[in-house]
Amino acid sequence: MQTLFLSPSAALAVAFAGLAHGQQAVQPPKTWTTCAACHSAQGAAAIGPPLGGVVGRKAGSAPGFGYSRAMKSAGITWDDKSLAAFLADPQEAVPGNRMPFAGVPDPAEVAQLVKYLKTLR
Amino acid sequence: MTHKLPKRSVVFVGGGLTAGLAARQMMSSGIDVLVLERGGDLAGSAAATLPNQRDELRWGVRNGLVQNWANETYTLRHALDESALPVRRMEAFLPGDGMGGAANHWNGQTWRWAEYDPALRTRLESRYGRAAIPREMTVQDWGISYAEMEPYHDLFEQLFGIAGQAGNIAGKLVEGGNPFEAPRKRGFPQQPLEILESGQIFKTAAQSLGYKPFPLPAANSPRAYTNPDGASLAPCQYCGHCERFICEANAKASPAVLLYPMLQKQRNFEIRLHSQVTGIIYDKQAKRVTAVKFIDLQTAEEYEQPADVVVLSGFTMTNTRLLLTSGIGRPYDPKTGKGAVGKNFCYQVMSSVPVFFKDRFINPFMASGASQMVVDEFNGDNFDHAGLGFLGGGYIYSNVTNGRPINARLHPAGTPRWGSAWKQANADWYSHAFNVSVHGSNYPHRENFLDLDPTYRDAYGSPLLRMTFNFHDNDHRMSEYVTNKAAGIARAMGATAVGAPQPRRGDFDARQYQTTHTTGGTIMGADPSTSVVSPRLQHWDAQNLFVVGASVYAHNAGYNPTGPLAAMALRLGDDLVRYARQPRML
Repeated sequence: MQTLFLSPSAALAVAFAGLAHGQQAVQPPKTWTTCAACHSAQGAAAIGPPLGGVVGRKAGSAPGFGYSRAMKSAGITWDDKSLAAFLADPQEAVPGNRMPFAGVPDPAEVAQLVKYLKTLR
Repeated sequence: MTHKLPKRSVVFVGGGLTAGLAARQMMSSGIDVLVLERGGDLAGSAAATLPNQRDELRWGVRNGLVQNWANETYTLRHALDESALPVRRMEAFLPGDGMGGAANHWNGQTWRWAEYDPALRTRLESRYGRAAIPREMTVQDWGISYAEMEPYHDLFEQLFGIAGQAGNIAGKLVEGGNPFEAPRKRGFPQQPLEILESGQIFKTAAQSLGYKPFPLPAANSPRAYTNPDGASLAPCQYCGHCERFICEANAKASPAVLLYPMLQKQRNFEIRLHSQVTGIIYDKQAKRVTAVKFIDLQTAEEYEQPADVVVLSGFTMTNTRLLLTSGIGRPYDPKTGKGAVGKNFCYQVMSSVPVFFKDRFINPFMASGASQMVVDEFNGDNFDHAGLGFLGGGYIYSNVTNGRPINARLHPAGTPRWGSAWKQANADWYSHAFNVSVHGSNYPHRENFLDLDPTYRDAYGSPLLRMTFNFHDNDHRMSEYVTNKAAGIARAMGATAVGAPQPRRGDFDARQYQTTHTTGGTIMGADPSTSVVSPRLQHWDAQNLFVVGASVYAHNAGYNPTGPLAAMALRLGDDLVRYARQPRML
């Protein structure tokens, strides 16, 4: 049974605390948890593309993420208006994109999300 | 030539739900864990992303996420005096392949079983007398109680964000939940999914008959959910691509979403993909296992992986087969009833009654794998069986999980099988029909068992697993009775037409999908002469070998099996930490 334990330092390996995200400068709105299941606020592509710096970015251009042809050829540079339209009804805004999400029905929540997305760098 | 690898502490055979849950419990202890998984990592692949994820032909019809039957299948015979033949393409149940296992393509229906289930024989004998249990019905107690598993059920529900309505909190019945539910310490972590139109119809009809309908507990997250480990689920989009598919919306709680990404960040965890385990090396004298043999499927190199502890965490069939091919434990002999490996192999008994509504829109394409309404009045021993001539039962539910175009078609009786009348029937009824279904138990029968096939071998040279399996009188009578109860609910719906009830009749048919819930073969129990593993899932003939999964179930209830096996996997993780500190019979 000698090999059953690793070295003492490994035994101190960090357990499952919360995700090691850095502190957000701005508190995200409640609806953000819906986005965060697939998108990171900072860092690399997860299930969806990362959203740090999304405002001002050309649609379909974050490195390391395989976009649909629809998104790559959408010709959108994300701003308040285009993000709001997209979040409200993704398929209406960019038909054929492959984000599996029906949209945020409440315009107030959409506005809060857009406001929050603008703080992500 | 076999390459011998450096010794590892705990080696899991099979990288699905149970290995992921057990490993999660072990991470903070620092114990070294290696998982061997025959398939790959499907995250981000065509199987998991739009638009290919919605390819019904590829995943739903051709079963793209399932064990490759050209490499390994099972042989089947219906009775002891028949010769078994290999099933060329198994449709009846769908073992998984790839990190996450069958939990990649599950529907998400998550039950705790009835409180009496782990002590079923005791329950039936005390209620009906010893003589009421037929001699050939080899039900036996599991050696555990529901109460000791409750905390692990609760933990699993928290980890997987199960959405449901509690029916029994600490013995107090809760309106709107399952009145037959085993007592739970607290409610589900999430409110139920939206009730579909079919569920509303079912609910009203069931209530009119005095039943207590409730929403099926679901692992399909209704809202964004972050579990105690910080892993997240997104909201279900009700797209109807759960069973046979990976959820592209990240909404279906699965080990590949919630467990493995987190485990892979731990320095004491490793999963080795494309590793096909071919046997366990067993020292019969010492009553210990010493190593696992596997083939790297990408290089065809053979390896021997020495281990302090081995855990069989594969599908029911795989766990049983590895014990048999490795010569560990005494194979079950149906003639004498002696031996336990392969014993009490069970499946399930499904049936249905179709209902058609001219003026109501069922819209079956808008559903999740577990967004149904259910009644539990006729399941297991929830009702009095005196004089009925059978034991067991099933839950009855509004069975709308998808409206996928190739397979989701219900037509009224008399519809032609092709041509313009068939086309018209599709147009008329696609959105206006559903099945009222029975999800029925399958209690063990003396002559239903697993052993090694004497003739046929798999692609790697090992004997195939042989199923000797059929439905027997008890199953047919149970199905007849409970399907009639389902028909009663169907007739109370005010439907335009109610199709003929279709109770399960005749022989087991490997071409028909019913459920992926095969159980038994490595059953647990308190008596080493009638079980394979102890109540703590430790092999009676090899102290450092553990088996987890539905293969340890001593019978199959009318419930989906995921809840209890998940609870047992979490408890096993804790037990393995204890075992590591002091190796012994737990």
